[in-house]
Amino acid sequence: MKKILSFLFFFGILLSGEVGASVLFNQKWNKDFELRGFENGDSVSIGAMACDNKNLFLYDQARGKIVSLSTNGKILKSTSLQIRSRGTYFGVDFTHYNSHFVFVNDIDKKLDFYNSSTGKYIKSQEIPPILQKETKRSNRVVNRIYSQKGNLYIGNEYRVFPVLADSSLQKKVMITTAPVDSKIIYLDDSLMVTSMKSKLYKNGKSLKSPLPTNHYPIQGKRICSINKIIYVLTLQPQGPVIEELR
Amino acid sequence: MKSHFPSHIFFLTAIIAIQFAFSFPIDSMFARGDSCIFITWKPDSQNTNPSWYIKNGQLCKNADTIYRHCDFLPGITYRSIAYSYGGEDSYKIFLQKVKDHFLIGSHLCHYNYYGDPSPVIAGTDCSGFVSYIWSVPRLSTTGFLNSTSYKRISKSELRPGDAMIKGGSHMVIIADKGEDSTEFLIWESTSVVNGCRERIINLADKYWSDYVPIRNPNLSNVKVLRNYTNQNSKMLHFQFSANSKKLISNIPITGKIDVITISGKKLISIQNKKEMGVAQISLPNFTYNTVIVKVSSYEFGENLFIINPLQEPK
Repeated sequence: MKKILSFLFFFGILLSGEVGASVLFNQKWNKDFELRGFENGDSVSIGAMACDNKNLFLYDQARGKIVSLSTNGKILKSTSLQIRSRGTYFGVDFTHYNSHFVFVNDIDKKLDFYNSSTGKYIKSQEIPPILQKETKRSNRVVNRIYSQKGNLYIGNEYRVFPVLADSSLQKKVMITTAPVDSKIIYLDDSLMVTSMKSKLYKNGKSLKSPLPTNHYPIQGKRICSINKIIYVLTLQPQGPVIEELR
Repeated sequence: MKSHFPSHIFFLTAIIAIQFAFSFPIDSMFARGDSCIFITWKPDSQNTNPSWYIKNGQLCKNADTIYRHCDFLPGITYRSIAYSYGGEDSYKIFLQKVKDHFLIGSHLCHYNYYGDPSPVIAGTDCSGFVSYIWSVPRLSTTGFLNSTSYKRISKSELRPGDAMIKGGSHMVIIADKGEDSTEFLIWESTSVVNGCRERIINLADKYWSDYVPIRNPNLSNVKVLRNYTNQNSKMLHFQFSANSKKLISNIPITGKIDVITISGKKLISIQNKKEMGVAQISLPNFTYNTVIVKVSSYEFGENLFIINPLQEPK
């Protein structure tokens, strides 16, 4: 019995990486998620993670689906997205917003909307060129999308701005910029959590768990929050892992 | 007041002129890369006809049945040059092929069955893309890696204009350094998105440990003081008048002005004297989408501008 408890304790530490993180979801590849190889040597699996106020969502880029999970780590539903081009690549990041999955299509410079129940394509809109005035080329890239308090925000890990229906107001929006040496990780109610290198800071206080390192790159968001609890996705050599960070 | 051309400006101009004679300016590289990534095009039903893909996709695995038809749909506006394994189209050739109803995009499994797709397919692959924006002879990824023309460097030396290669697999160009020391903005043509793209990468990810950085020694790092002409600025900029077919400066300028294509060919060179006021450069037979204007002036020193004359002036 002692040996079993010791093994479980050790296994829990191994999976979590740090004391203070609990594993919500942990699978081997080719069970529910595939690690798919491309001719240029890329391995594609999960492209991004998003949350709404209830569930987590994973963009299964290998298969062109959105997989929704409960906060207990149980897979609830798998929705295939309507293919319009570019194979199973729908965008670099996404969010769940007003019964839509909204993707940042960074290749065609559009926001693409899909019905979150059926996966059917609804519409596209051009990404507003708000960041084009940035002098640094890398700061002009739009590769992040957030849904906060009924609004959409897009940008990158250092600058975000709201997406508005009124085009004359859109031109005048303020750009929110991350502090020096920090990144914008997510927006949760009025919280803006930023990271400084490998640690997470929450309103100036450091959390117990540093960010787990990724084996395979994730191009979109891999951190989101529900009810002030932070979830982080990591792609490990053996499979995807979602942890709850405290 | 008499105008004069200080000797140090003349000397700097000479240095810049020599650089242009023997090297490919990095601004030309940026102009080419932007052209590949930001072009728009709309295929029709001939461009996306599935019959060639069905016939030549026989080596595509069952899981890759998406390769049994064209990657694109008719009537939708797309951006960036499509991915085609073995292809090497510049943005100009790609747009012409789209107009000429070539099929768009292909993959390794098609290449393995059919061979070189460029007579029927529009697009480029990773090494074709780099060959074009570096303006060098086309090589494969292994060819670039093994070539003595390019210098291997360390990841700590990486700067815009360098490339990273995984031989036999993939290669990318560094377009900018990111905010974080391990982050870079790269350009690539990739089958993952079926096109060319720019994206932020983190060299701390284990994926990049297999990549070797190389440098093109002929890529000169001539500093660009202003990238685009249409920014609101009280400083010098140029606009192209489609009516008069002239490139015109917004304020008076004294000095030498060269108009150069992005491949480095000089189109015209003028000496604008002080009494002439604003510079007006006639380009009557203009057919280029993008040109570089190199200015060596008394008022502003040396400047480079990238101009897309076919855009309507604001």
